[in-house]
Amino acid sequence: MDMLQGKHFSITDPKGVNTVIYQINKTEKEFLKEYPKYTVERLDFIEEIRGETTRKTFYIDEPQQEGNQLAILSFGKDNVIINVGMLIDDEVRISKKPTPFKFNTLYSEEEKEFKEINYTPNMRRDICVIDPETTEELKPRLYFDEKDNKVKGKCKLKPYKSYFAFEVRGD
Amino acid sequence: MVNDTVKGKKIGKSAGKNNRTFLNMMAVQQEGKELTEKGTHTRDVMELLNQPEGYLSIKAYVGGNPNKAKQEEKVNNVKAKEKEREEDITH
Repeated sequence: MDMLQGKHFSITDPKGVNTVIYQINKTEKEFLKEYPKYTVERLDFIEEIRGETTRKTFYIDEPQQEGNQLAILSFGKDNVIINVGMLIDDEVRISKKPTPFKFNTLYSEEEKEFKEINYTPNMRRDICVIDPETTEELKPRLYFDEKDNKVKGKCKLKPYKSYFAFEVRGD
Repeated sequence: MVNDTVKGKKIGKSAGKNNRTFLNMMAVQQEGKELTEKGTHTRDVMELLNQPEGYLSIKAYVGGNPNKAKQEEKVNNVKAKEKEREEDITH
């Protein structure tokens, strides 16, 4: 059934570029007390290597009549190009004004060991942290801190390295 | 990042053209034992899409994720077998 309802579109990444796309979701009223108004969901994709480029096909499971807002992140060696788009009917509209975001300390030689740091996700803010080298999301390990009587998080990061983070907020 | 499902139910549906959303972007870095934000930019999603220069258009096609459909088929098969087994026991 989903095969019929969903939609897909393709983009091509040039060599050295890795694009990931998120759908911006609006939280239903019943969940608004506990969750942020907007959250993001990474789109599934399949990829096909064509010479030095990679063709990626992204899938949207539930196209909406009002459109599906998208955040498009293209990671390069030391920067990320942030763009937005919208799936409407049979087309994906992509802004002609992307925002480049440069990392100053992405490939530091100072220290390469991963270190565990405190990172407790805030359930009222959906902040997505991404390793720009791998484009993987940073997922903290959650634990219960008996001393403070609350759930906390920890994750392993490379010191002196910048990670990209974003969130979607309403007005 | 928060989970987008609660007990298997999605907490929301895609935001559309009538939703005003802002994209906050930042670099984060380890400082001491904490993760610290560095330099934040905010962009208005709908404003970017409604620029006078227009937008790029990519064709979208009907057809969902084949991998997801296969996964759902597997789950449904497992459920059907479990149901059969339960019926065998009750008979």
